[in-house]
Amino acid sequence: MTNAGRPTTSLDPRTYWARLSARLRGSPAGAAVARWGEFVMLPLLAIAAGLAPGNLSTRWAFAIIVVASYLILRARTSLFSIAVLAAMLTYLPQQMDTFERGIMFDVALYSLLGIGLNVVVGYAGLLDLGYVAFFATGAYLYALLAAPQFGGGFDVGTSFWLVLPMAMVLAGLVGVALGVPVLRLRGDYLAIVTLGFGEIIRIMINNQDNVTNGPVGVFSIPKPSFGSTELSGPFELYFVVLAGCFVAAFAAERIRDSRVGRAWEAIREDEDVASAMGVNTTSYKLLAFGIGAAIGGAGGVMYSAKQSAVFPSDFNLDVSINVIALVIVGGMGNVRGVVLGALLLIALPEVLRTFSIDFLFVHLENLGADYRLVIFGAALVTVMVLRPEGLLPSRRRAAEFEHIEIIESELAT
Amino acid sequence: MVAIVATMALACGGGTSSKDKTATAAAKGGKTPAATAGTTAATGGGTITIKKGDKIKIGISTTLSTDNAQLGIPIRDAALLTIKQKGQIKGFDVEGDPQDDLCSGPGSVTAAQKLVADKVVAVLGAMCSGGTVAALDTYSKENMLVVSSSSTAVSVTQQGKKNFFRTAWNDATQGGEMAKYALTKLNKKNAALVNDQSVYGKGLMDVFKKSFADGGGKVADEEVVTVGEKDFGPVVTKIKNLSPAPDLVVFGGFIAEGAVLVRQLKEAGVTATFMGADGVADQKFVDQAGGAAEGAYVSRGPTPLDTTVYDKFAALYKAAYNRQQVDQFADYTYDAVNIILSAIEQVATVDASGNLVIDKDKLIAAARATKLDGAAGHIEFNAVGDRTVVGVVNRIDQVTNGKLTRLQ
Amino acid sequence: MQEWIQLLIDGVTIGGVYAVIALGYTLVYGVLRMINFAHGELFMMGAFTGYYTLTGFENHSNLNDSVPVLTIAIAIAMGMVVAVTLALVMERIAYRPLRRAPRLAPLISAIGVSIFLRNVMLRVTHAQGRVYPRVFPRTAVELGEIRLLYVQIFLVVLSVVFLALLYLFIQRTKAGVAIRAVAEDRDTAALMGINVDRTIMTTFAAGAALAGAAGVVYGMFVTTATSGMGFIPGIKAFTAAVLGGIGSVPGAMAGGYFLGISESLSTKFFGAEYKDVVAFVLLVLVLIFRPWGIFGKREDKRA
Repeated sequence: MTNAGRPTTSLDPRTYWARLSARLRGSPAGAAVARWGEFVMLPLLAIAAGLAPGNLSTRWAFAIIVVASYLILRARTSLFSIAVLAAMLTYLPQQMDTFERGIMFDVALYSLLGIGLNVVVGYAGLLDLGYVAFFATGAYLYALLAAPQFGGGFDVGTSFWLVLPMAMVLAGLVGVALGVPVLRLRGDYLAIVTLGFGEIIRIMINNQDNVTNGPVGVFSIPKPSFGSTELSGPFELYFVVLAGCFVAAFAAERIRDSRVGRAWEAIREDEDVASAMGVNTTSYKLLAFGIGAAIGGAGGVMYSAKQSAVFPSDFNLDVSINVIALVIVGGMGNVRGVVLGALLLIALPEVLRTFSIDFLFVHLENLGADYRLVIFGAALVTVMVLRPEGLLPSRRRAAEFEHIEIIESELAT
Repeated sequence: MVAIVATMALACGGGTSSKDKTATAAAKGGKTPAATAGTTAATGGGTITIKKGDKIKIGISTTLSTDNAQLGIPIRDAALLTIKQKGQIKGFDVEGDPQDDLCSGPGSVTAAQKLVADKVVAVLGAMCSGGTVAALDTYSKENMLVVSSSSTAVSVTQQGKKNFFRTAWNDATQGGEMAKYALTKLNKKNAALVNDQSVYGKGLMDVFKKSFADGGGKVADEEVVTVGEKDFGPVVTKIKNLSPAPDLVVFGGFIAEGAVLVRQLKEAGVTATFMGADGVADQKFVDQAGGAAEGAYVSRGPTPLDTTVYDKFAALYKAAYNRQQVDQFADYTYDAVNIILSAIEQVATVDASGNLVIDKDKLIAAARATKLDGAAGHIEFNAVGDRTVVGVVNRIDQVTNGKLTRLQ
Repeated sequence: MQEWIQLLIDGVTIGGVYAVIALGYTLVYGVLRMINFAHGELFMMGAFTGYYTLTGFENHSNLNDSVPVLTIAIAIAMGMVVAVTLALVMERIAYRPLRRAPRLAPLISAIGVSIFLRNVMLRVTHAQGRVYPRVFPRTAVELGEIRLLYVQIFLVVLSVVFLALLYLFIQRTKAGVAIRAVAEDRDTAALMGINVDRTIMTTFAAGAALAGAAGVVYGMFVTTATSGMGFIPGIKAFTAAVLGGIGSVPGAMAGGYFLGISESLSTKFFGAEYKDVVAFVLLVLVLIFRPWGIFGKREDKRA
């Protein structure tokens, strides 16, 4: 009799959630919503977000109800929904103030990074804790090439749009280069080595003063222009990142559904068996690293452009941890999860900056600011314990996990 | 995919939107930024209007978490005290809006965005030099008056932003003065430099190195320590084994690392004199070093010889917060906030409907024209926002009997 | 020459710290196949406990002056108690529910615990480092230019003693056998009648006790305690454990000292700023040629 230590009562939050969703999905109303849901839900969301009357909490409540029901039912993607999605994401930030736009940029950027890391961790199953290295590569490439009075003797004002693909290629090469020595490593060994690589890159940038200006950083990085408009702030650049997210997500999901993706899946499940079946694990692993890195590099370029000043200390371990946390909390293996993770882990702490509790004897001010990281840590633990497969895992993952759960519960009884 | 919409909506649902909302549903496509009414122009010009009954908000960008909060919290406290002391301008209440800038580039940018969204009239901040460098872009777009009381790195004013001033000294001045003092007053010829790899610490040491060498001194070695580490054994050993042994060890960095370094140097038997800068110019440095700092020199940057205003402020500060000492940067903060408040008072006019109108360009011009005898000395600004060196001397303290005592 | 020896001494000291923390990592990994990212924070909590204990003695008695051996021993004991308690709570809340979960879930949970503890202490201390009262004498053995503080000797001796005790515990006691069994094959061990939950708790407790004690002694060595002081040593210790072969107790020890010494000596060649780079490059090199670490066993199944 194993004590797996897992209760299987009917009130267990994990099974309760699964059973509730299944029941709702099966009901006629549920089926109808699943089929036509997008047409109804999305306009409702648009209204909730931008047009609803009333104060903050009413709109939040409305949006939450709509979102929750939507998530339970998980309708399929379609061209219509993508179109409405694009429209909403274009319209909404125009209603926001600078701070919120800044948050939207950060969410979009971290989503992009998450999509990239998802390729490495979620698709190919390679635990990479040093993703910040590629982000830094892209950021510094643009910074060094574009900042005018940087005394390194580089060209002045190289175009953003030119540097972007350059950065992706460079970051991709760095990704492959970092992948080569770790090919033989598995699991946690891989984790610590990639963590080390992330740190190594940061330290190198920090100390190669003559090339990178060291800890003092690079500033006065110019903004890109799109045609005749200067993309001068987080708002404008947000659209660039958003476009990047769409492209990356599309590309990533296409690759996942191709031979390459299947090879990755085989490697993820059991590398030895995959290799025995003739899958060239080396090249596919390097490909995963490379693609993930390229996306990270692209994100770095956009970050540089928006920040206008970068420092080596911006690219520390915390960034890697944030990205992997949001990928895992959100649900690995799919883009939806990544975005949800980004929203929860990046946007929520900022939105809660000035949130205060004033309840009986508990008086805590500025929860988001002072206690942000305390709550962040607690939230990570809570989410993982309650839903280890992530909040929105890909259908395949959820199935894998349910499979394990069923076996476990059988063993425990 | 569609859940992205859903979840985006969740985040978008909040926030104040006092701008007019277009009644049309989702506008398709179009990546051009739509300027909504109420936002100010990108650069230059612009006016701030505060409705009758609203408050004048002054943004405070300072570090409230991370280890450097020990410097950041006093800045916030000093700023709030100064604002409270002022109380009102032209019948409008003045209020402080403190935001945590995390002593980092991204953190300061986020704080800047929040302050802009909160519609502050002017900003005190950011605390750390790196943060200010990054955040200035956001502030300049709004043509917002920014005065920093603690960002001392050279690179901060190198961008030449017209809306930025600082009551703290440019490290180019402080570093140069430190080197001069070491060469002439202390007769040191051979220095080892240590920095904490921050924008401030590295920048300061670079200036010191150049000035010291120009003055005929020799820089024997340059070492770095990492913020957060506690064991500087290898650095200490290296310094100890330099040959010829240096007679001066200079540190560019903050209290936490400085205290550990000076103590470990003492214990290792390094006899060289220790010299720190404004980042450690605080009693906390002496306390945390536990006696090892005895005899060390600390540069506070240029300060006035006449301390009447400073003493008045010190009394006020100590009483308000029940503290024994005036924390580092509190006096600079007091002056910075006063500059902001008096600039607003000079420039603001009350219009016919009782609203307060402030012209941004005029506000910045008023700040530039400051001639203030403040707690940190006589303050006047040059074209890039640095203080002109008028009527002050670089203050050097020495730790004697466990307290920082002024030498010059 | 003298400089080399001093660097060696510094390296052995920090190596001792890494080694003791690495012992905890390797134990937990052995039974749970999980990287306990929060282990470094146990070290930090130990350091703070030591501070509060010794300061308590300082302010309310003169025991620090009269019987420092006693107060130090109590401080170390308190450090161990607090660390063990914390570890058991951690295990119960954040790790036990995730025992059968996909491997990454406990990792994120551990990261969450680490962030939580670090920031709680940051708030509690209001970001001020705490300075240890002078209890352990700061005297040293001096040979020419070389200085070896007694507290450093104490630290190294303690780490060796811990290793020996741990080794005996694992090899000779019933609980130790249980730990080895669970590490080998959890389900079979359960079938053989071993209480897996209890064994895992014991493992956590053992690792935590070591880390907590190390925290107190390290705190006395550097005389400060800050909320972030466990993070980097934690990562380095994990590196050391992997270097030595994760899952192997002597490996953790060897890895810890090897890492500490190499780091320290390398500063002579590359400068202090590249210390961490050296550590990780070393790790990569070792793992390229021996992917299971120095003392590690070849894992047949995927780690």
